[in-house]
Amino acid sequence: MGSYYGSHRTNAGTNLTILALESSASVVGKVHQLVIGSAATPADVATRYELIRHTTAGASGTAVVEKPSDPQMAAASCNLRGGTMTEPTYEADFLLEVSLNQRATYTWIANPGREFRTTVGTANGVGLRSISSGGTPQTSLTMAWDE
Amino acid sequence: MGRAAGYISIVSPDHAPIERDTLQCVHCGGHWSLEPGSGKQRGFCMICNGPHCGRPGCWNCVPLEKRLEELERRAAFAAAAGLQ
Repeated sequence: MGSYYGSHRTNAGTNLTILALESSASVVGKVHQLVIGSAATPADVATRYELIRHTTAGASGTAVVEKPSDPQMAAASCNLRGGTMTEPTYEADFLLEVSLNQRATYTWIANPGREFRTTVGTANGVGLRSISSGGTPQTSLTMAWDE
Repeated sequence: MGRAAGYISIVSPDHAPIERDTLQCVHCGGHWSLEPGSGKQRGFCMICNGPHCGRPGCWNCVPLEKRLEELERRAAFAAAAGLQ
């Protein structure tokens, strides 16, 4: 089992994915940490983010290279895709909802065994998406997962 | 709060750091933090012996692992049928 993390920075808005973790054909990811913040000039902009499962992967976007926690570890099987992208097909229900001021930094950590597990298949995964926002705040996201 | 499933912290220059534990829904796997007085209705599954988030699809007991297996079967079928 390997532990990996990746980061991406893009503008939030309405229904825009910040970063998505896509499973491989036979390996699933278990997301255990999220850090959401902004490196932009401080401003009061409220944004609602949701972590949601997707059943069709996004297209184009930015290929985000993951980093293994252990430098000796092999490359991850799962794939990271950063926005802006052709949006994935998401499920209706979210796994985690975060309403955040741009000035704030949000951290979520799962206890062992309580991670968000993706399902196998390259079309499947989870993505953090900005659902609505008072503007287009630049958002930085770091996601850590095991596989 | 017993058996926390996760932890959140919010750090902002406008207020003191906020730290909360989260619970995890035994049916959909979602996490949430308790907000007393929010009016949100949650539940407890006596079969899974754990809390559920209270969304309409989570009041009937479909354990998380079973739900994930269904999603995987659905994806495998779609791939085999050339729908993806």
